Amino acid sequence: MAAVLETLETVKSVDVDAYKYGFVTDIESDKAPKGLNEDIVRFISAKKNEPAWLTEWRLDAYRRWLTMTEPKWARVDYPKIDYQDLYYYSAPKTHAGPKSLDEVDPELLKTYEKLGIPLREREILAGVQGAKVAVDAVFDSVSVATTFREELSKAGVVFCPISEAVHSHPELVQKYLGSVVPVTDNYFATLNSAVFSDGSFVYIPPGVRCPMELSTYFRINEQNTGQFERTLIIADKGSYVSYLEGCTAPKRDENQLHAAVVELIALEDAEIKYSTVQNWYPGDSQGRGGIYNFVTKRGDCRGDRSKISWTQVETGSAITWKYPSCILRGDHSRGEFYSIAISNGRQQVDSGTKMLHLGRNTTSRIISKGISAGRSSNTYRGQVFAHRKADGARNFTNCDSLLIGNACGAHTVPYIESRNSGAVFEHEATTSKISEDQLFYCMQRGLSAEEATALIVNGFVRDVLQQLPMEFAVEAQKLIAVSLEGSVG
Amino acid sequence: MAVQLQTVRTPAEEAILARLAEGGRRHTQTREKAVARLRANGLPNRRVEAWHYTDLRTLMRDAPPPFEAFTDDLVAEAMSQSAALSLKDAAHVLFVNGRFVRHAGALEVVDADTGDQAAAAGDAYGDDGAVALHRAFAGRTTTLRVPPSHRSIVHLDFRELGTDAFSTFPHLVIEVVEGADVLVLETHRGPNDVSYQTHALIEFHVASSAKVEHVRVNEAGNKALSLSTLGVDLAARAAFQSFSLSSGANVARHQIFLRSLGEHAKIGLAGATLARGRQHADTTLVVDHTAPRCESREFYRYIVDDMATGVFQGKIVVAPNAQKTDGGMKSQTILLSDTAAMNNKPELEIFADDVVCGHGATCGSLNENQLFYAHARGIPPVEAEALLLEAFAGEAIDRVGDEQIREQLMDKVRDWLAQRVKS
Repeated sequence: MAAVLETLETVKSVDVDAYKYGFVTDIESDKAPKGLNEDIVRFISAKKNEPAWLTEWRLDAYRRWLTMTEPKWARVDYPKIDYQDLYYYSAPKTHAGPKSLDEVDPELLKTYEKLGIPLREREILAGVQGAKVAVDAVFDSVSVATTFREELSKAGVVFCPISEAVHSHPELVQKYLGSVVPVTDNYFATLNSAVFSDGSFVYIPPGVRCPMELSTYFRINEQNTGQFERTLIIADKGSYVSYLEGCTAPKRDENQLHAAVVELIALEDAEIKYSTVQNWYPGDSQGRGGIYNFVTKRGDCRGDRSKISWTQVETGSAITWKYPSCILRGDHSRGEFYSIAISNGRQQVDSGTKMLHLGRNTTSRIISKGISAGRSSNTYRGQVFAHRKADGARNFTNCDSLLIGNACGAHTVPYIESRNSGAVFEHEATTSKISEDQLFYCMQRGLSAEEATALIVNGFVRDVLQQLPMEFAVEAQKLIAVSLEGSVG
Repeated sequence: MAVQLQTVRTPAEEAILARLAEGGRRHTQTREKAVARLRANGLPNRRVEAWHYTDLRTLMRDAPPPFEAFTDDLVAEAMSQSAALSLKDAAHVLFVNGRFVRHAGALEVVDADTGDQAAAAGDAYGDDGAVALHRAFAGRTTTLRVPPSHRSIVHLDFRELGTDAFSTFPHLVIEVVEGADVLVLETHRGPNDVSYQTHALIEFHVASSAKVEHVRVNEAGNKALSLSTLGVDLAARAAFQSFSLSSGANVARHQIFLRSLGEHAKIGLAGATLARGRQHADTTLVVDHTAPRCESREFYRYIVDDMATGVFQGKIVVAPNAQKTDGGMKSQTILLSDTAAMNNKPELEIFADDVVCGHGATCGSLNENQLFYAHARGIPPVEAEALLLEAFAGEAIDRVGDEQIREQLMDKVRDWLAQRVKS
């Protein structure tokens, strides 16, 4: 939501109409030098005017990070990242993007067209100069922020950039930040803790059912602030919130490395539903470029009868390394994970979940649908664990993979660990290809091979699509068809 | 957490490396490689993915010396004891403390100083830390050639004897020629209260259209560390069935590395593991489909009681050209106590699109409805449990084709359960 705030401020200070004519404002253009050291961490902290404890917290993370090594266990292969060759702070700026849509990769434009994105929005997504700021106000996210902000605050819901929450709700941030994903959790989470740029902060007070779906949908400025996102969502006793993240349209991004951290905390009887659609630039057909997406997402069902549900549609990024997890601490708490991961071209996906059953009578459900096409590699990696005290824990896991073409790979690596005889775990996995009979049936009725494949794949992933909020589900369905283009025939 | 750790060698690792430095062993390329590997990586530990659940660095407290004191008395003593299982009409091949002693029956057996083992092994599992340990110490290789024509029955009878700690590293190569049909029974029995360590490496080379049924029974002593590696290469249309019943040893790990090299090979792996006390029982298998149109089925059942730990790791690999592969794996566990633990890792690694592969894994306790049903009919709870457990293990044992063996395996399960009822 940083983008939203900045945009609102900018829009306020400048006559909005000026943008229509391609007026370019110099919002802020300072950038820290390349590389990472304690000074850069202090610089980032100072830029955000953070309190001393947070600066120390970042520095502590940075020092820890220096002693860590990059994890190598995932089934992904990428050239070594030079962490000193990156910018860790670059404020939103008017950078030298393409001057008009004519200069944009025609492949990308074709995709926009298929997704039915209006021309104006296409410009923004492609990063055309001058288009950026002006259109912000048009988008849903902004309208959510402006129109509904008041309504949210009436309900007592706090929904703001985390950099703002540090000042407005320091006690909440200090109490919960890093309490689910500790500073030392893993290499990328530690890096994020040291240099996180911005992200959303949500607090739902006790007993409140958030009056609307919270969304960071179409966050245009994310391009420059979202490299190290940090999201913190706290659902207090008996509350409910549904949070949507991401966007269905493919997006150019100059930052190749993304290392986000998302922390969810559900107290007694609270429920959090977190949905993601990720469609970042996957690189070209030869595997050049593309985003490296190393995300740590974890939810903590701290209170009894709490529930956290992750739903994700992953179609973008060159490398995906992502395991949204649930710690089922409270008795009778419930964790859910619904995932569609589609890989095409030379994409590499290593994604899954962890369900850690610590409390009594905790239940979890994992439905994972992996589709690999082209020369891609798609791995499900998941852990289900029952602690000695987790009497009556129950898990059901189903991971299905679909292969399209014989140059791709689909892998399943589940870890099922039980320490309690009262825990019941069931796991099933299948791998197969699209049935010839089904394809034939569809094609006989006039569908092209591509349309038939899209139809069958949509059926294959239906269980997960149903979990998505309505506005996402329709677009996600289209997205699946677009993602699989070129994989048949 | 990915913090770089300075590895400190454990006493067992120190002892192994000191022993290897003493020399006196033949220098072969394979051994040199294995020793270098051990020196660099130490024993397999939880940081090694394939050994995550069986950390030899902590489970292997010391490294006793390889057994050398072979005498006629020792063989006589072995002969006077009964094997873990008996089989009529079998060519009996006896190994005492890891060394081939004698064989009876019409079978071609060659026992020789080890040449370059890698040539025989094809190095499909040369990366494994335990295999490296075996190669660093193994001295001799026994080669069995199974003739074609009628069905052969072979009993590989491994006996461990002694009162002091020792280690053994038998190495066996079984060549099954084209069209042959063989039943191989492999039994392991050793003394209780002696912390001996044994690692049997058995390699099957199965030629086209040959048929192998392999049954393994592990009754190693209660303090033993028993490692076992089964390497199998299958040619076209070969059929390979293997069953393993594991109830012995303090720490047991049975690993199978199987490759189908020709089309239409048929693979069936099954096992039943019974673990109690503080036992640690691991079955790890890798089924590598490298040729098209092969079929594999894996079926494993675990009963884990007291403070024991069970581990099942099964990996089905399908290479890009192995189209039309049909693979199915199932592992099921019953935990009988709240301190028992089970780790299950069924993996699929698939690079071909026209395949049907799946796996299922379950873990839980005995079905209360079934217990109630039995109880309502006047069967005391303990006996009802035993009855259900017998049926549970029995479903795995049903996969054994030979009736004579099947009966004896069922008896062993009943004995194990009877001990439970008693206590």
